Amino acid sequence: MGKIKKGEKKVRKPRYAFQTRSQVDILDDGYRWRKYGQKAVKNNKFPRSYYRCTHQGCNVKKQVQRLTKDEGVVVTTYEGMHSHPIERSTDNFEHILNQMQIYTSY
Amino acid sequence: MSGVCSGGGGREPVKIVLIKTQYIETDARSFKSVVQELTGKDSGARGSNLSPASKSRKVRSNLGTKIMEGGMNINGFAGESINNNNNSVLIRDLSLKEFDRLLQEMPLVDEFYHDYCLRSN
Repeated sequence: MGKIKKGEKKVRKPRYAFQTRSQVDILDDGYRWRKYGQKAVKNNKFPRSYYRCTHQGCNVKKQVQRLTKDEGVVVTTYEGMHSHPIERSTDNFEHILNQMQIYTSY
Repeated sequence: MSGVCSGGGGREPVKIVLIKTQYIETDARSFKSVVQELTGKDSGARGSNLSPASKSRKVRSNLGTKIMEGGMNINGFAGESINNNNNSVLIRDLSLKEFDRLLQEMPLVDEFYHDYCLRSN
């Protein structure tokens, strides 16, 4: 990696860019997001949208960009790791199961 | 992408931000689980290196295979063990779509019972 000179701070940020073929721009990833920006991108006919995780104290960000060279593909780029587990309460299926109260005996 | 260098003096600390972007291809169905795997709170993958287990799962788009293999691990998937007595398997964090797929790809109950429950003890 090389020596860190005095007074130099190196910060590593891992990012994950997901390329997914989808007609939907916002893919469900189990988290909740709030949009905080949008800007036009050079050489690209689609704008890029910026989102932040809404969970308190969690600073994960994501960007959503549809590709011009392949319009069926949307690129979702995540930065950071969530500080909290996934919210499961919005899961419809689990909600239904709870209501049905199925008990099995082993 | 590198950060900004302030010239001369060296009085101000130089901050360099290294952004390593890892590109991942998924299908819409696997998207949710892979994202949670890589960016979730308890994910085993820190930094830019994927653990071997998640690496192999990343390239699998056949969810049925992924889940069934996970279910059959002796050490258990998501913390549940398979013992000889009641052969229970717990699978966590399934979305409705995944569960649907699992049900569709499951073998017939008779086959299932014969193959997995009647093993010689």
